[in-house]
Amino acid sequence: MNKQTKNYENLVLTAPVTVPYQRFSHHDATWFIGRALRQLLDKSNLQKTAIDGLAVSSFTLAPDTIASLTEQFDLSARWLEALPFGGASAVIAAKRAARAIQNGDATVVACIGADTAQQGSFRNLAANFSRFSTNAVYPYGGAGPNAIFAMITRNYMDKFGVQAEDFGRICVAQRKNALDNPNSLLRKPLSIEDYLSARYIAEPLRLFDCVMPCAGAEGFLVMTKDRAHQLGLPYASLLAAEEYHNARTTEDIPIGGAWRVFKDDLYNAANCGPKDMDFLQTYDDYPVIVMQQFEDLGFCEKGNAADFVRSTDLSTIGNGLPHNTGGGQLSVGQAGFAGGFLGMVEAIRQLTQQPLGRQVIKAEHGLVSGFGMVNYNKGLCAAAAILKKGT
Amino acid sequence: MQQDTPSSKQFQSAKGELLLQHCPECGTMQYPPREVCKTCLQHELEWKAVSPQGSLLSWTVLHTSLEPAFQKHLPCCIAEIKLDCGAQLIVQLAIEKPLALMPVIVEIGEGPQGTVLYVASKK
Repeated sequence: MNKQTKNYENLVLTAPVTVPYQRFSHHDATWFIGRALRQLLDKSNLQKTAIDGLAVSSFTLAPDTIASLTEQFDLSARWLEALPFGGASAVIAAKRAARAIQNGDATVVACIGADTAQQGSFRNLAANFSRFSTNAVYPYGGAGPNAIFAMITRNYMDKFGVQAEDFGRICVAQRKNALDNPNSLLRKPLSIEDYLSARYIAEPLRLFDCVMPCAGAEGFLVMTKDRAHQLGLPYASLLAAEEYHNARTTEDIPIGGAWRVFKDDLYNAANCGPKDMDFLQTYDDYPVIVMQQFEDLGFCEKGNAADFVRSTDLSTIGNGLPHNTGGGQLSVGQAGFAGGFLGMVEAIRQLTQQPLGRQVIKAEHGLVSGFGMVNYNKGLCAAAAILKKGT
Repeated sequence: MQQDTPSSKQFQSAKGELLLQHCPECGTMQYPPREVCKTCLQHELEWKAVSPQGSLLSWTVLHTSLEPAFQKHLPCCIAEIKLDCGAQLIVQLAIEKPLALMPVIVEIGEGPQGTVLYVASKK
């Protein structure tokens, strides 16, 4: 589609940081963003004055903005970006930060996804998520995203003969990956029997199909390869990144996302394909969306994701396709917009040999995918990036 | 609920017809309501009666709700339907054994706390 896209030569992602997740917090979002920023400085040995770009994604930052954060943190910046793209935000942050540095608009960009969580805050978020959701979704049962994804899941199951057990395989494998990750809020082993016997939340979705909202932050730095070398920081190179929003579709209920639009361009730009990926981090707010990413990003054909998960070892240290290697949001928790950063930060961790949980045995190429913003009845934003271990 | 927005007038005419937002310039019918036409961005929109008939796309039985007012009405059934005019509506479903693509008819009903809602039942 956009074969002219300039590559990201010499742009790297480094210093993956995580502010530990909590089910609830009395702090506001600036506490989580500030702590992430401090960790980025500590990890990189950079002075605050060396950070001249800031990209932040946060639901709970209002009434503050990306601009007021500069005063909160006494930070002067040449380049600021607010990213309201939900689970697609981290890939988009990396992409835009890399472009800004390429174009000379910034030299070091801190990218942070962070949110707090208080009792009742998820209800307020769901009730006021958008005009469409307030007027035409929330009045119907007040279910938030669970109802929409339940209907997407039922449609997908009917269309492709997918069983609950197939979704369960994804959740069980991710829990296994989470067991060694001290930041995971859910670390009790999960069996397929546990998965299938859990209570319904919104049929056909059961308890372990749904992420647990929480508070936390994830962050990373974008800079040139030379700068990372000077600082002695291990890094991941950005080979390719794409985003697409509100893709046209003929489906009444979506069986996929906008990854289909840019998949070929993404792999062409990175000069590799799905078989070259040593791991995959998908956006896993619900397992049906994971299956749609397997398909739309070319790991299997459309409609074959259930077969794919039946025959593929998804565990971090297995011989199949290590997937959501730190446990993903389904185990770690969904810290608001930080949920969209979890896969990106985990990918940088794996490629720089600093995972919180288990290390993928051979981690040289990885794909990170994002998905966000269910405004009415489908997710609007899709993004994906291919990263390579720095040399 | 907000007052005097497009959504507050979206439900039905005095004769009980189902109303959807219509663009007199390009003919687009749209839902959910918006301030401008989604196709040509023209801002003087009308409300037009449409057939209340459509078909069931998907549904879910909710066992939890974020909204305290719904707690005593759980479990409840929510669906997405497609009206014959093409608009897709999220509705309450009043069908015991739903089946994908079954014909439905949409009426105006009432949710907890007197909220006006679309309700789909068997045609």
